[in-house]
Amino acid sequence: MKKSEKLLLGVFAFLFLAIIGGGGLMFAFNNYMAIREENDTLRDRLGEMNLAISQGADWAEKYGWLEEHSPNFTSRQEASAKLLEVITGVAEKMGLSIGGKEFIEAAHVLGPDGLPLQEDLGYFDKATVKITLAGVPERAFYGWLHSLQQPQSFLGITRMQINPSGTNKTINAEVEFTQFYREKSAPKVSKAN
Amino acid sequence: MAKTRKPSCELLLPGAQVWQSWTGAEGAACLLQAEQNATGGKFGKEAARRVLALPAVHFWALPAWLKGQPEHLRSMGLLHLERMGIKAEDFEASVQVRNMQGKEGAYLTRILALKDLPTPLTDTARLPDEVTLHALCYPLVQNSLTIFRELGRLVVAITSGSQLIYCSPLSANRLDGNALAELNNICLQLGFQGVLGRLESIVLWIEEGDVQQIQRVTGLSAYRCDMPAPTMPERGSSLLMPQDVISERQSQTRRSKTRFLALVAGTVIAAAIALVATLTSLALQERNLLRDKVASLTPRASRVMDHKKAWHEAAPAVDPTSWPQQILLHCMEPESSKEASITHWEWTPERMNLRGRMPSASLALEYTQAL
Repeated sequence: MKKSEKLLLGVFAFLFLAIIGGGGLMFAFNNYMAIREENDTLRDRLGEMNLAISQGADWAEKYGWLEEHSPNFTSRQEASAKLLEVITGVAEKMGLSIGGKEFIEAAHVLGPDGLPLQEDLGYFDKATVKITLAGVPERAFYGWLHSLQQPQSFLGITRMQINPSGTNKTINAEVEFTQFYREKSAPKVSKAN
Repeated sequence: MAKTRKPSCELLLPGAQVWQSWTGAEGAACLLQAEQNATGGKFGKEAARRVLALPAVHFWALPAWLKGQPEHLRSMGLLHLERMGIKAEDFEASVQVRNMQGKEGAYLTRILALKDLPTPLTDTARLPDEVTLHALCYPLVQNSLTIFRELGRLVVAITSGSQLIYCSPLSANRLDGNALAELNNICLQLGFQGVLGRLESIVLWIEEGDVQQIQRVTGLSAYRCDMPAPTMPERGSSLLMPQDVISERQSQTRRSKTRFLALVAGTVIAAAIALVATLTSLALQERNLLRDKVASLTPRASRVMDHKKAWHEAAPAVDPTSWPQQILLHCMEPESSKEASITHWEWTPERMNLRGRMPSASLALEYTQAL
């Protein structure tokens, strides 16, 4: 074998070893890093689970309260009508004039079968209405909100927008109220059960 | 029982017919260890120092009177060789020029030059540490002409005082009239050059040859005696080394270096593989343990998580801490909020959008950081 042939053979052998060995080593290292990453994720999840379990009694108590006090309506229309009635009734009492009312349909993400995804359904049924107010006094507005929001009523604000109207401490506002409830006719099966 | 210590030096030299291995201490007479074949010799394993005595046919061993500075003797010696048509490289390993005596600015030198012949070693795994002329391994008689055999060839060695000044193989294969004529011729040439001193005797280290005839033809007294045992050359007495031995040594060094590098590379790769395998194995063990723990906690935890999610879903209605009034109050808490005039405030459970004016950018930044 000539010297040049030996040199060429040596170079090829080195390249072969470098490519195969280096590739193998990189694959092994990447595999190791992937396992480490998975371990970190599992460790975090374990921490969350332990924390959740340690607070389990509190959350169970809260959930029990929700189950006990959540209102029941036969349909969404009934819930929406009741919601609007409460809102307008309190507003009249407070001397607030409601500019606009709009029922908002919850947009559900549909699954491949055309039905809403289970994760998107949530634990409660909801009826939402958007109220628009223009040039209302601040004090009356906040008093109205305070009167409406009572934990037992399951009536919550899910969006609020305030802009000063620029005259005499009055504001323009848009508020979305949501009524959380359970439909009586077809009780919703909780995930927790 | 005391253990006899083996001599640490080995001398490989051309015997009368075959190569011989001798052992001994530096500067002392050696003991014959083994006889090998005529084609070449090989060194044993045990010797710490190995000396190869090459036959006279591998050397030019010539005397010369050189005139000049002593430090230029080597250059003058090389020129002398060139004048005689002998091509020699200017390396310490190829040519040795030794000053024998000086007189009126001229020096009698012995030029010892290696010929470009392959070194007769049958095994190059063990190479010599030093190479010398075979005749230099013997205590030669002063001012004499000594005749002996090397691997079947007759060799003549001439001394000036106690120093060897000339050594060459003879063309004649037997010590007969032709050989004596050749001897006379050599002496005549050396005499013309003025390098031959006062020869006193001819010493025969061989059994052949008619002493009477030799005395009659040469005019010198001749006598026969046994060839003495060689003396182990002193360390560093010769720097000569044949080129093929140097090349072989370099090649062995390169091979050794390559083997070492390959071994290091192999060790590093093996260590890397072992490290990655160990780390992966440990990580896999930990992963399996964590998976088992997660699996065992999942039923209890998922129930709690469901309760938590249900609460968070209804939080805008049932949890006063997440009501927008509370968030609005929180926006008014920072000291810098007194300077803010808010023009737009929008809130949802997931995000808050706030627009307004502040007297300066630094106050705006301070307010944002406080929020």
